Amino acid sequence: MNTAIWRAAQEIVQPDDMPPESANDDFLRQFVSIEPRLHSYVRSLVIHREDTEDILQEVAIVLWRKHSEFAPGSNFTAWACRVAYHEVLHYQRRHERSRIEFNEELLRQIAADAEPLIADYDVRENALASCLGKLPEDDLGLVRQRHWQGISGRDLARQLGRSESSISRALARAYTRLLACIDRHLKAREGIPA
Amino acid sequence: MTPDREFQVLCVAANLGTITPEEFARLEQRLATDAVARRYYVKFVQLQGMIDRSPGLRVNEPTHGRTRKIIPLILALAACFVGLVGGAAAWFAWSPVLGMEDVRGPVTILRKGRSLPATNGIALRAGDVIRTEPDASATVAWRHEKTSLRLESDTVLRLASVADGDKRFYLLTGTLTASVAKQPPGQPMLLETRFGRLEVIGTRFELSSLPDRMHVNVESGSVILTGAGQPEGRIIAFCQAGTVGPSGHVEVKTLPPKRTAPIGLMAHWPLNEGKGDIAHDTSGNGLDASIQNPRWTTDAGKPALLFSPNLKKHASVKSRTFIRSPELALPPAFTITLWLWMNREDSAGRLLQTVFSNSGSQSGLDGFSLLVRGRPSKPAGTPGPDEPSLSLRTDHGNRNKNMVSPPMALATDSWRFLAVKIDRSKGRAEISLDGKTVCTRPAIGTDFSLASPLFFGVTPHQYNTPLKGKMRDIRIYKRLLDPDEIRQLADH
Repeated sequence: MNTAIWRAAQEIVQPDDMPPESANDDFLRQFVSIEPRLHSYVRSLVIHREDTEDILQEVAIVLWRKHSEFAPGSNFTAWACRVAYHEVLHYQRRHERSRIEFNEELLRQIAADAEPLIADYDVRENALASCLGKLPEDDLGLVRQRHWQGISGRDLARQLGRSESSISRALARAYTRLLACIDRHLKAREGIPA
Repeated sequence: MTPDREFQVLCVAANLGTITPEEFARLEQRLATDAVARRYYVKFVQLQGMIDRSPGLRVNEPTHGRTRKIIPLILALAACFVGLVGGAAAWFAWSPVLGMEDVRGPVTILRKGRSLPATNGIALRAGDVIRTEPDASATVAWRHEKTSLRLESDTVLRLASVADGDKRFYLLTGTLTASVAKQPPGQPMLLETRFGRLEVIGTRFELSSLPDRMHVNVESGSVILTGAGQPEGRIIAFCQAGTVGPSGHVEVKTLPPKRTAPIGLMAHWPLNEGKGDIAHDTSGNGLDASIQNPRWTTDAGKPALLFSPNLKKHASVKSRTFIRSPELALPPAFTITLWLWMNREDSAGRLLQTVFSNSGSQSGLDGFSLLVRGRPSKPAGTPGPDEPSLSLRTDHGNRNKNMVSPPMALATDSWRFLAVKIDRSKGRAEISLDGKTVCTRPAIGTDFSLASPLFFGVTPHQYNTPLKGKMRDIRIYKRLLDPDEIRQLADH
C-alpha cells in the first residue's frame, strides 16, 4: 500500500493540478476528519482486506486533485464515498481476472447499505470499547489474538488445538455479540427500547 | 434481526481469507437476495475494520458477580495489586513510542478531524498529520531509539505507520531533516512524497517535497530513492543528492565535500576574517557575531582570533577580547565544536578561563559554561598531571552541576579540536578532544537556560574569567553529532 498514493499521484496529478496551499489545508482537515469512516466504507466493499489501504490512498489522491470541485457547505463524506465507490470499481476492474470480487450490481447494493452506516461511526466506535469489555473471556481472547496480535484463523486453530471451523464459529459468535451490543447502545442512545 | 449461524460463519471465512469459491458464490447469492443478511454483512465488515484500527482500545476486564461474592478481602487486595502491576505493564506496553520535541512557533497536529496545538512531549500516533507554520519547526522523536525527524517551517508530514519495523511517512510538502538509527534488517523506514519513495536503513539526510520534485541530500550512510511508478530505485550515498520529478527518473549528483550542506548547522564562524570586528556566519543563516577588542593572528599556522593576550590580572573589562553571538534559539540538544589553542604560560595555577558561556543575568547565574581549569600547582619535577582540564558547568539559581574532564586532557601550545554535546532534556553532556571522548555522563542539570547570546572568551556575567589563547572555526549544530562526524571534523 505504501506507494499507491504517490504512484497514483504520478499518474493523475500534474503540478498544475495541485491545489493551492490554503485549499491543501482545508482538504487535509476534512480528509483526516472522515478518514476512519471512509476506511470503514471502503472496507465494506472489498473482499480482500489488504486492498483497503491501497484503495484508500488512491481515493485520497483523487479527492485531493478534485477538491476544488467540492462545493463548500455540501456533504464532504457523501462526496468522498462517491469517489471511493468509483475507485473500488476501478480497482476491481484491474484485478478481476485473478481474484474473487463482488459483481458490480452487488457492489452497488452493498455501497447503498454501507454509506448510511458510517454516519454514526463515532458512536459505534465508542460503543465498541464498552462492548468489548462485556464479551465473555474466551471470546475476548479470540478477538484479541485475531485483531491485535494478527494471528490467522489457521494459526489460531493450531495454537488452541481446535479445528478451523470451530474457530470460525467462535469468532462468528463473538462478532455477533458485539454487533448486538453496539445496536443496543445505538437504540438506547436514540431512546428506542431494546 | 440476525442471520443464521451458517451465514455468520461465511462472513468470518470471507474475512479470514479462507473462503472457497463455492462458499463465496453462496455468500454472493445471499447478499444479492437478502437485505437483512446484506446489512448484517456490512456491519460485520465495518466492525472488523473498527477493531483493527483501534489497537489502543482499553478493554475493561469483566468482573463477574459470583467471583466478587466468594473472594475474601485478602484476595481482593491481591487482585488490586495484580491489577496495578498489570496496569503498569499495560501502560509500558501501550505507552507511545514517539512524541514531539523542540516545538518552536505554531505547530498543529490534525488527529481524527480535530486540530491540536503541538506541545513538547505530546505523544504522536499513526494517522496524525503534523503541520508547521511559516517560521515554526518541530522534531518528531522516538523514545527508544535515536531516530528523529526535524520538520522545518511550512512542512506537512503524515504518520502513516509508526510501529517498529513498519515506519512509514508521507511528506506532503516542505522539508525535514532526518537522523535515523539503524533499522531492523529488511524493514527500512519509508518516506514518500508524491514523486517517489525513500528507503532508509539508518543515516542522516535532508528531504524536501517540492511542488515539482522531491530532493534528498544525504550527509552520511545511504538511502534508496525510487521514482513513482519505477520498478527499481537508485542508491544515494554520502555526499550525494538525488532528485525525482514527475517523470519518475532519479537524477543523482555527487557534490564536492565542501559543498555538501551540513545538516543541522545553525551557525559557523570560521574566524578567518583577519580584520574587522564582525565574525561572519557562513552557515547561510545570517547569524553574524560581534567581536570586542578583536586581535587577529596567523601565528599558529591558521587564521584565528587571539583572546586577551598579556592580560593583566586586574585589567579592565574593556580590554578583554570576546565574541558575542546574536540570538540563536538553541534547541535542547545541540553540539558546539571549535579549535582551541591554550597558551601554556597562561594556564598555570588554578585560574579559570571561559571557552563559551551563556550563563549570566541580573538575577543570577542561569545557563551553561565551558571552562578551562588551569593545571594544578605542584612542585617542579613532581610527576603527575600538569595540563589543564575542561569543565562543563550548568547553573540554575542556586543549583549548579559540574562535569570535569580528567587532568591533562587539554594539551597546551597546540591546536586542539573540541566538541561539546549538550542534551538538556536528558541531563547529559559529552566533551570530546581531537575526536576522542574525554568525558561523558549524565551529570548536567535539566533546567538551565538556553537563552542567548552566547559568549566566547568570557562569561556574560560581568565578562569574567577571560580566555587567553586562540580560537578558530566555531560551529553550532542544532543536533547531537555522532562520533564519526566529530572525528571527520577533527581530521580536517
